[in-house]
Amino acid sequence: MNRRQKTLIYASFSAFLLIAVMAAGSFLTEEATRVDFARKNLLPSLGHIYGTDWFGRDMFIRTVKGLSLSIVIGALSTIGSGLIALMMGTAAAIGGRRVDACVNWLIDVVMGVPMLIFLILVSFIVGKGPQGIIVGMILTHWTYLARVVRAEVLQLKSSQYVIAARSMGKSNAYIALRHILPHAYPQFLVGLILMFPHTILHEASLTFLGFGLSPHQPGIGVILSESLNYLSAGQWWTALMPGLSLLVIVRLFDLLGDSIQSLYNPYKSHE
Amino acid sequence: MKLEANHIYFKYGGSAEWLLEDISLDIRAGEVVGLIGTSGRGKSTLGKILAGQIGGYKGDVLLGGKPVPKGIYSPVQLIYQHPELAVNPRWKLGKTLAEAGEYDDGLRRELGVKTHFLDRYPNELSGGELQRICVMRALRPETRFLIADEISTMLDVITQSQIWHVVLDYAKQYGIGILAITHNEHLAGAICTRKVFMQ
Repeated sequence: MNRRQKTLIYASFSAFLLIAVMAAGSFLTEEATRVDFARKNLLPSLGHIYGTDWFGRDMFIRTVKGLSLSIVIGALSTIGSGLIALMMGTAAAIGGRRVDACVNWLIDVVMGVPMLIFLILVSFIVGKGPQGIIVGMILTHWTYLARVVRAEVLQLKSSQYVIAARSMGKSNAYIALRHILPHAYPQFLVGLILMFPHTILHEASLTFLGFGLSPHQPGIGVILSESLNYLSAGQWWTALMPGLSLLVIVRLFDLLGDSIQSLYNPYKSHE
Repeated sequence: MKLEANHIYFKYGGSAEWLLEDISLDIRAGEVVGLIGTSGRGKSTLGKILAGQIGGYKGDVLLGGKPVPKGIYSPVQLIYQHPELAVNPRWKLGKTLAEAGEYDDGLRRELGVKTHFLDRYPNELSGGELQRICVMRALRPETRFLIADEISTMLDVITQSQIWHVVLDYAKQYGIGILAITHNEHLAGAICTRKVFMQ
C-alpha cells in the first residue's frame, strides 16, 4: 500500500466518523436524555460508557448530541467565513493596489482584536444562542483563509506558466479556470477544513464562558461548564469524557485537512 | 521583419534608479543576437519587455513597425531559465505541450522528447527533459522571434549543444530571429551572429 492509499483511508475514516457523529446526534430525541434519578452519578461502565450525570442522564448520548450540534454550528460558520475569505482574497489579489491595501487593513483590524472578545461583543449584539455564535464566527474567522487565497492567486497570477499561457494568447477566463482554480481550490478546501476545529473550540469556549448557547441546549460547552461544578465532588467523568471526545473530533478534522492537503499538493501528490 | 526596442526606460516599483535607461536594440529576422552582461544589469527584464510580459516602461517595442499583437499566440516567444517553473506542476506534460496547439512530430524527435515524457508529471522529469519541452512549445510556425533567457545555463554540455543545435536549425529554416541572453561569452561566440553587451 503506498502513501497515497494510506492517506485516502485516513481521510475517509475521519470523514465517516464525523458524519456518523452528526447523523447520530440529529436522530437522538429528547427521550434518550430522559432524567432518571434511579441511575444518577454512575461511574463509566459497560451500560453507560461515559457514566451518567447528576440527573441520571447518559453522558455518552449527551456528548454525541453536543458534538453534533457543535459540528453543525461549525459547518455553518465555516462556510460563511469561507465565502467571505474567497471574496476578500480574490478581490485583494486582482483588484489592484488600493483594494489590496483596504482588504489587508481590514484583515489586520480583525486579527488585531482578541478573537474571544470580538466573539463576545458580536454575540451580545446579535443575541445569544446559535445565531450569535455563528454570526460572530463568520465575522472573525475569514481573515486567515483570505490571506491564503490572496497569496495563492497572486503567486499563480505571476507564475511563469501562467505568463507563458498568456503569451500563447489564452484568455483571462481560460487562465482562471484551467490554471488558477485547480491550484487554489485545494488550498481553499484544506483551509476550510482546518478552520472547522477552530470554530468548534471557539463555540465550546464561548458557551463555557456563558455567552454562547443557553443552558438547555445540548452544546458541548454547556456540558463542560455544568460538569465543572461537580468536578470538586469527585465526578471526574462528567467533564473528562466529553472533553476527550471534543479533542478527538478536533483532531479528526485536523487529520482530514492534512490528508487532503497532502493528496492535493502538486509536489507530493504523485508520490 | 525586425523586432526593435526604442529608447526603453524601466524601473521596478519602489526603486529610485532606472534599471534600463535609454536602451535601444533591434533584432532582424534570421539573426542570432547575443545579449551579454553581468547579473543584475536588466538583461532578463529587457527580454520580458521585448516579449510583452512586463508593462509600465517608457519607450516602445515594435515588431515590423507595429506594436507586438496580444491575445493571439505571440510571435515573440520567451523561453525561461528554469523550465520546472514554466510548466504547470499539476499537468502531465502532454497537456502542457498541447496547450500551445498541435505540434510537429519531427521536431519532437529532433529535440529528443520521448513519447513517454508526455505521460509524466513535471516532477518526474529532469530539468533538461523539461527544457526540451519548453523549447518545443515555443518553436511554432507563428513564432517570429525567440527570446532565449539563459535557456541552457543549467544543462550539461551535451544537452546544451543538442538543444541549441535544434533551435538554430529551426530558426534558420523559418527565418526566426533569436535574442540569446547569457553570461557565457563562449556560448555566445559559438552561436551568435552579433553580440550586444550590457555593462
